Amino acid sequence: MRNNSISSGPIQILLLVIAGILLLGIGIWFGKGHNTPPANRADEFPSATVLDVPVALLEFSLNDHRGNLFTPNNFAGKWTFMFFGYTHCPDVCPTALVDMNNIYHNLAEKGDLSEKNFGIGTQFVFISVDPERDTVKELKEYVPFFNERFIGITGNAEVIESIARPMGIAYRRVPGKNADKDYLVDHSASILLIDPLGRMRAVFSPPHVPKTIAADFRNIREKYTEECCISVDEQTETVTFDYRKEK
Amino acid sequence: MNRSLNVSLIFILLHIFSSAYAHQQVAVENAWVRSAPPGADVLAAYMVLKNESEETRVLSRVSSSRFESVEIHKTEMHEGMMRMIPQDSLPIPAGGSVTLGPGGFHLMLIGPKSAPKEGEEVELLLKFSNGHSQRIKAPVQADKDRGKSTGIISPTSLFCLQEIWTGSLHRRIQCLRLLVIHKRCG
Repeated sequence: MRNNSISSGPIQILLLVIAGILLLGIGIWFGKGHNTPPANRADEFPSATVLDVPVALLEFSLNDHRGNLFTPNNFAGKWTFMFFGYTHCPDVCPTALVDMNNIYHNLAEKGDLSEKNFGIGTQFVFISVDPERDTVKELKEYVPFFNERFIGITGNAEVIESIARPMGIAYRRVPGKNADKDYLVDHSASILLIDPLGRMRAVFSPPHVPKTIAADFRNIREKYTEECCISVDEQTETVTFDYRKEK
Repeated sequence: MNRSLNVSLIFILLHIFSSAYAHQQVAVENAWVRSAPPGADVLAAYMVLKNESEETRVLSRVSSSRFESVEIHKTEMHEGMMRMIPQDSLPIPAGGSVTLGPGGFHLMLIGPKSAPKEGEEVELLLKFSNGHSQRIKAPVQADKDRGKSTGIISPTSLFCLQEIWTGSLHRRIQCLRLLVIHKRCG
């Protein structure tokens, strides 16, 4: 009797352990099935707030840092990273521009700036919220310093405000410590993503992590490019960007 | 025998005094100035201030012969906007530290007498409310992690090598220049 219980003991324990593991496995299996939502938006784009309904930009006419016109047509056929800032800004704006430069190089290093994406390129734009001081000449010295491909935009103050407002970009002039001319500008520090039809599609709020933003951008682009502006010719099997489709 | 004992005694005493002195001070680490375009009239300096003493130390004034003035600022999110708030002083708690970094506390360097270039060092004089002052040097660099080059080819440098091999002419020149001069990739 005594002998018997000793010899069967370990086997019983082993069986119990196996049964336990099986039950646990079944539990996890079912638990997983119930807990996984169809799409977890927060995990999908960790650094971005993506708009289901993109915000259309109004008609406008501004100047780039080379003195050329910059209108909504300049958004056509490109994804655009856009930041509102000003050049007399020591901390936030240089930080954002360096972050944008890191995003640029993260995308460039993997050949991800244009070719793979139906010929739809990517551009980086810095729009001044202080157009009074930020003339075309000032921007020409400022913006290319961070990246030669970046575009600086300035122009009429009211026009800039009319673009900024619908995109949720707020700014306000505040007096500096010294004279009247030394003012600062409080401003939103989000990087915006404009789609190839010139509509705001996503907002990257600070603090910006370039690597995460670049990864999210790739996913956003993959998810939304076809929906917005690609047409496929099934006979010739060519894929073309079609800006006019929705216009 | 006697003499060597004396010498070692002196060393021991020196060590005790110098470490006691060091513990009264604020250690400044990882200071750097964000490089800015040549025409920029404001720049920012960042660093970590470590208070090794047993009392609160207060950074009360900063100056630099290179700039017209230096202000202590804090960038803060306010009503959805980033705003800079000038600080009269910056207390560093006993045994604690304060980080000056992008998007937070920073020294606003106003009116450069000549444009600081990447790779240069900017000298700053930190004055504390207890009368102590400290001279530090902050290298000018584009980003926090830049400039700590070890000379070893990193994985990103391998990308550079690849770009030098396959990139556009402009990119090739740019990468070569960065690798050779700054030993980094950009």
